[in-house]
Amino acid sequence: MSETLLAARGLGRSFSVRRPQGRPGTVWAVRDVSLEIRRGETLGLVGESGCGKSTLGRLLALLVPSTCGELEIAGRSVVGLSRRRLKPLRRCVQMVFQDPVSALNPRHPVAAILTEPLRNYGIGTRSERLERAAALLEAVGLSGTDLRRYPHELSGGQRQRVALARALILDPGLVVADEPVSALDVSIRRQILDLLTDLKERFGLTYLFIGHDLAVVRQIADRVAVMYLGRIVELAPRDRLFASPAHPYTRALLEAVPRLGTGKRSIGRALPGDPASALDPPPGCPFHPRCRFASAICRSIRPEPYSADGIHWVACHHADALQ
Amino acid sequence: MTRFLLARLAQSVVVLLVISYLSYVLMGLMPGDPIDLLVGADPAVSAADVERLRALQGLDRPIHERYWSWLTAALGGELGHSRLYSTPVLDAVGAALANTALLLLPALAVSVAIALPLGVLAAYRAGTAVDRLVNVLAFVGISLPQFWLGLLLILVFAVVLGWLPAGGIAREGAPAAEHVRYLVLPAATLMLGTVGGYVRYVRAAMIEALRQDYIRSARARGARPARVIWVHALRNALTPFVTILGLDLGLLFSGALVTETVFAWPGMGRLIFEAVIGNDYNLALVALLIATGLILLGNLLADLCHGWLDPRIRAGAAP
Repeated sequence: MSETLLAARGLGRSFSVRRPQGRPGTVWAVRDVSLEIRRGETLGLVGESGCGKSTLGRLLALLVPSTCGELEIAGRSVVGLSRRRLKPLRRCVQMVFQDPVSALNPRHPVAAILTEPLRNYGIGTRSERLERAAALLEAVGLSGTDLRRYPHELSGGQRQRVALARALILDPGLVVADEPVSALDVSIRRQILDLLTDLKERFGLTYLFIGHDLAVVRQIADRVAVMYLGRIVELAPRDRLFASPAHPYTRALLEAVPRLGTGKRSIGRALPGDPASALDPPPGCPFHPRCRFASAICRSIRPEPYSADGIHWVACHHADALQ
Repeated sequence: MTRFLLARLAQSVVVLLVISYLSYVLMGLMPGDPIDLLVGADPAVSAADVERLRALQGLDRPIHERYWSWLTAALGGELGHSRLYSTPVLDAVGAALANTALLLLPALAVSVAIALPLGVLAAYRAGTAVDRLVNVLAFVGISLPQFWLGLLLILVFAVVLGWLPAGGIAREGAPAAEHVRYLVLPAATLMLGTVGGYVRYVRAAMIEALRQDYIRSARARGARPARVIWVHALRNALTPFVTILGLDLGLLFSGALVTETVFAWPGMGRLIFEAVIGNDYNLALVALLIATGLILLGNLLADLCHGWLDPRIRAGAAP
């Protein structure tokens, strides 16, 4: 449980954009992120739209290069590696996406979709690859006869199963699941979540589970990281985070979840305003313009992630006082 | 597949019939007929002669009757003579078709060969200086009027430099190199007129394709960048482009009029124009119908390519 599969230190990714006035600007989609993912765990990653969770997922899957920082996968540093040296490491992290339509190439039958990764890595003969594809299809609850079908002949849930099978075919240690159930019907959601849990045990997987639905993340994650404006503001074991959130932003997120049976809506507790623009991040704590507890120090000095016990990390000047 | 082809064939026959009727009636409504031209050329013809000639040629009958007798004759393979060219209609049209094909196919082939890599490059580097440069060039190409571009090319390469002939076509039996010399300028004009639009189409479709998750994550599955672009993305991006290409192929067979006129290229566009202006009914009708048929054919080819490119359109799902 404690072996580190992936470690990021000060990881950042910026994009240059043009501001409305036409001057070039820089957006830090992910900034100064340090985290470890341990073998066998499911790390949940939550935050608002545009907070950088997907970019972080793609950074960890080596799909976009980082702008700065350190990244180690299975103990090997990946920063600055040549394309050829990177290739064997890419296998270790695979992704599953939210949209089951755009995740699969509509021009290829399932067999080609599943065997292409093996072919890219020169694994097995044609028939061995097909055999492996059929075995994985069955592992995700489809049948070998589906190999001949095209994505448009499959339902959303079935496509997501194919996407999962494709992610698993290279035997990755880590699967980055970017909102894998958000686009599915509620009835299908349950099935896919159960399948994720089942596959994790059978294949010894580790998940980075990205989501905005706290209820879903709570079901599946062992630890949860909360992102705001490109930074991780809180990271804690699931039960700790949901029982005693330390960051005001996490609190606001939890309060925004509608509860069944209380009969009242938490009016007035909604966060005021929009997230600050990543183009012009506020000085000090990035959350202070929307924070109920903001004080003078929050407006000038950015709080560093801090942990009293080495388990529950939070980046807030007032975390101790608030708890 | 067979059913699809048969259905399209039936549709095409209906379209051709409608077009033939419309063309016939429109030409009949045009002021002047061949007899008027004859009278203009020979003042000795009397009014009685005119009446007699009209009756002889059937021009005094109602237009529907005339259409019907033309249609039955045409279906029987009797397409008549061209008054302007003094040959059977099919001979005149056949020569023009061959000339246009000689001009059009290389022009479009070069246009596609340039547009594909440029469009893909622009899409892959979207938003960068390379992309902007390609876009500007494409818009310049789209904006240049064909007649002006043709004249400019003639001025530079034929008049000033004297490298290439200003217009016309090589004599029959001339060596291939001679044919090519006559071909270069009009083909370049057509190519420059189409390539800009094609680049834009390829770029737009590629940007859309490159945005898909299965493209963005293909690298994680070990696919080389070149394979991601040329195998995964381009095949998905080609569908809209193939549609345009199919349409253009059909349209340009009769629609390269400006280029053909500027370069005195005896192709289909000019043939139709001259036949209509010269009241050569037989020739104009057949040429228009063949032009229509080619447009239908271009569409059909595009649809067949879609089926090959996209399994979703294949088998039964065809519209």
